[in-house]
Amino acid sequence: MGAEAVVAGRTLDGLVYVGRDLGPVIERSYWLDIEPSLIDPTLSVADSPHGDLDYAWPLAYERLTAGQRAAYLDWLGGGRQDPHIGTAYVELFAAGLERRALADRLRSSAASDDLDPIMRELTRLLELYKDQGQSRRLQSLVDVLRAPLLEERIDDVEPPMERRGWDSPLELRLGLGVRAVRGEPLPAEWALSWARCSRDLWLRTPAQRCPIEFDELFGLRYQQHYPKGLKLKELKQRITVEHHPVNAGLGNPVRWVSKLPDIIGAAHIVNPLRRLAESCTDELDAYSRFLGRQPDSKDDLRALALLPRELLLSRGSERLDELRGIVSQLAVAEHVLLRAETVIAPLIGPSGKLAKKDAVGLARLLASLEAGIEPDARFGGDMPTPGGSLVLFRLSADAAGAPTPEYSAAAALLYMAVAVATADDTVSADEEHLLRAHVLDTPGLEQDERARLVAYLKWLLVQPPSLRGISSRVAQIQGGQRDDVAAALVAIAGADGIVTPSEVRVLTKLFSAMGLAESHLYTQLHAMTVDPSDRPVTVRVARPGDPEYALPQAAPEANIVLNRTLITARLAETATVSALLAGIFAGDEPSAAPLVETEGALGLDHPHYEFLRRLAERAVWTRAEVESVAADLRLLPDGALETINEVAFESVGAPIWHGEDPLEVDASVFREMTS
Amino acid sequence: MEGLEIRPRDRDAILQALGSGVVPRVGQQYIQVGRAGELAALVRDIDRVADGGSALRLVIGEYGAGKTFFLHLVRSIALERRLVTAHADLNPDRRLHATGGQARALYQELTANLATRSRPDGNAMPSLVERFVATALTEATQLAQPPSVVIAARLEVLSEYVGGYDFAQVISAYWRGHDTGDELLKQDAVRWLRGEFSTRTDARHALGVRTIVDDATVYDHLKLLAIFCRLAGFAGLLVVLDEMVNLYKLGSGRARAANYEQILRILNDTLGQAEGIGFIMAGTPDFFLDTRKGLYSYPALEGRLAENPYATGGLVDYSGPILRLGNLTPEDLYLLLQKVRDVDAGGRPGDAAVMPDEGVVAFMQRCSDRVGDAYFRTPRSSIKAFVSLLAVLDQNQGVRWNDLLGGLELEEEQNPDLEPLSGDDAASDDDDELVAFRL
Repeated sequence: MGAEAVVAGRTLDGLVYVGRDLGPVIERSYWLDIEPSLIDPTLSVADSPHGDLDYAWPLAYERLTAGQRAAYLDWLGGGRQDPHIGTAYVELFAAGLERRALADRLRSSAASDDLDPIMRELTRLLELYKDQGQSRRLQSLVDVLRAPLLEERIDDVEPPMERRGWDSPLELRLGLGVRAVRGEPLPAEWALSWARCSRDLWLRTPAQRCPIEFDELFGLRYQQHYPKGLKLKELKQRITVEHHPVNAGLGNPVRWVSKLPDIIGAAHIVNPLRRLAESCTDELDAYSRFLGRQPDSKDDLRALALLPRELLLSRGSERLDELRGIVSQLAVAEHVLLRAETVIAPLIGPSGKLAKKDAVGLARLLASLEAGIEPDARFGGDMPTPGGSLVLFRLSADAAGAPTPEYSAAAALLYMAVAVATADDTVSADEEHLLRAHVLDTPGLEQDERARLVAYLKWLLVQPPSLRGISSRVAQIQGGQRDDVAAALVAIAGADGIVTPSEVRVLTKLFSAMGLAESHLYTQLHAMTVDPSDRPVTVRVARPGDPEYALPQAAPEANIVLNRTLITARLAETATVSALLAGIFAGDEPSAAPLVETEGALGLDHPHYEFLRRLAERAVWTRAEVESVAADLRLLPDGALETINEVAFESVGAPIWHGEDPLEVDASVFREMTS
Repeated sequence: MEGLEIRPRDRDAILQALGSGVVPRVGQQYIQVGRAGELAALVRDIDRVADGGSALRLVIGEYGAGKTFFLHLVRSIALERRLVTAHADLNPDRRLHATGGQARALYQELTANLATRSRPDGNAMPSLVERFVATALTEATQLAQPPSVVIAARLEVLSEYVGGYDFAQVISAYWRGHDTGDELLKQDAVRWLRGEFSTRTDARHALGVRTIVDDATVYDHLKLLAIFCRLAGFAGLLVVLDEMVNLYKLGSGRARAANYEQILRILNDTLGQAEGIGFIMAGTPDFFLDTRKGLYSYPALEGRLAENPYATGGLVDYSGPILRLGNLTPEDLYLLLQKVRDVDAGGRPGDAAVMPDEGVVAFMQRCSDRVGDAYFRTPRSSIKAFVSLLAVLDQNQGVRWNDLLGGLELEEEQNPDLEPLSGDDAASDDDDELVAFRL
């Protein structure tokens, strides 16, 4: 067996039968009278190999052509390594080993000793030619040879991680079987072994492309689903290894039956583990596809972002460590305001921008590190832009990755509110206070959502919003809430007591986007800016829906309830006004401009005094009569009338005449003036 | 109103006006409720004008907030302070700036409504001119100089201003007409001053002047008129423009801008060189706030109208050009009705208790039932009904107030601003009408 032989100029280093007159194991064979693997050195051999050997039956050295023999001997002489050798040549060689191990061993002790080198050689060949068709029969040969040994040392068997050929590895079947017999649950590494090697599961690409990630994830998920391990049940069927000999001289198939049950294909294993494995490959799908496109970017943040969270945490990566460093600032502060590049630089594509999917990935990556980012594309925000800013904030591990309708509405309102507040380029303390109050008072928000909203506000204040695409944000707000939103926006605009045209301009756009009448806006703005001292600022208008406490119905007759405080205040104000007006209308102050410089009575010159005296004689005058009196005195009638009335106002606070035509004269005023 | 007896004539005038749904021409002071700060601000404006300064106020209030009432009261105060007032409602045919005669039409309206304390109802142009001439005549007598020389000398100052020379010529023409008994010449002079000449040729034939008041010179002539008022012995001129919303409603953006530019010009003038003239303009919030069509749409006005950034947190600043009037509250109406009742009782509060306070509340309740919130938001109907109620109580001694409430009829008011604007709408020519009534 171990001896060297030289045949047709090729040196063979053993493991072959060489000579003549070795009969087949089965003596009565219709088609063979000689051991098929026997190399008869007397047979002719060509100088160089030619002719393929695709199929031959029975497969035997003596039936080869001279060219085929040359090929076979060349392969043997070359150390049985040529990977391109035809399948049949390898089988021909294996046929010799098979005879030695299965047949000769039963008769000779020397052959028994050869078992180890034979196994080694077979294993080597299996490895070398695993991708070719013959490996199945080689495998079953190996299995049938080693099965008793494995069963004997069952506790030393390691879970196999690779399947060779078609069948599930024998080790796996034995490993499962022995645990079923002992009533032990399935350990995680054996479950993984099943997932990797079972014939009943075809693993999709992610498991092949990212085996490390798959193994880790599968282990994790298995632990999560079956903390105590999957329970195994014993079945009647025993593990059987059957080998159909390659050597035509050996006759019938060889079979080995174990005392352990064969449960590898049992439904109670296949179904749960298949489901688990499939869910794992699904989880890795995105990551795997990314690597499929860019095989060298395992460390890219884009790729890492696609990893399941648990894998990320255990992952060592330079980029990831950078990110961890940034996020660690949140240990001391609720929020960190950063230049966007600090975080997004590794993700900026050739276009100079951050793609939406990358922004989403980044947000997810950060969420795995228990940090939120604003703006967050997943929450309806914009994308961080190079040159802009972003805010990181603390987030709990189980924070939702998508906005609730309440959050969307609150964020939309906040967006609009900041648009209003920043319209005049400054955000006053009052305005900011009101904005914060809005965030804190919004009902129906989770803690994480509130934190996000605060961060969003912080970001909006640094990066004031534009009104482009405002309608999509408005769409987040239910029709019924829009009046409240409008009121809140107006309150924000007026929080500092000034409503500037630019604020109004923004409000106008927002109102029209919300489908609210513009006149409504002006009414509200006006109402707010009038006398602000009287009015508390509306943060959120009371809503009639879902009252927490039932209010007693107001008695119908008590409809008009007058506010006594307001009345008192108004009365005081009215008293002030009355005093002011009394001062004006009492007419008791001296005339600023002397009308006419005179020496006549009442400060009038003679003609005017005469005019006054004559008019006072009668109660009613026509215009013509007045004009003739004036003409007599060489006065201008209207000027004279004006003058005497002025004097009357000055002295007694009432006009002496009124009307045009006829003119009525109040004699009592004249008497009062002259008394 | 403490300390002020109501003259029976004023009492009747107030009740008659309120009873027919218009703002009283006199005696608004008897029924004013609240608005102390606002009124004080405008009294300061009036005093500044009387001292030879100038002022511009934009009074902004909703429909029904009482803008027109407020303007009337301010006008009364101005008259009392010896100012001459001129007021007009803007409408599509009366604007601050125009090229088709609409600005001259505004000027005509203003001068037709020119009022003095003696002539609060308007048509005071002849009085104004004659007051001037009369003082000049007195001076001429004292100085023993021909009146024409004194008049010319007194009017000298006008020639420094745009159009001042012709203005002086027209005043002189009036004197000549008086001196020579030429009534036609006097009439033409007044017509010229009122902007009623439409062609230069006519004006030259009638008065020998080369210019007339036209669209382009309306504002210049208002300034001349203001100076002339002071020359005639009055304290100054107050121009009151209501219904400014009509500028906002102009269809043409260019026309709006031109009118707003005119406001800016006036505003700049009142901050600087104008003498003895004040402007009060009243409009609704949209006229002011609309950034596409309102005053806020005119960038140059933005800065001028900017509000005092320190007037926050309950502080109110009345010194800016904007004055806001809040809407009436039920409490305001309550006090107003009380005042009306007291006026009805002759100014003696509590006297003639035909209508006690609970009666006022019951009346308001009744109104509320009929027309809802409108009873205090646009209170004209409520007040009309209240005055009628008082009249019935006055005239029927046996009747008690609670007997009458059941039969109360109330009309619903409509905001005319909400109605489509028809091009030939001349609105109400009688400016004292609160609202043109359209149902």
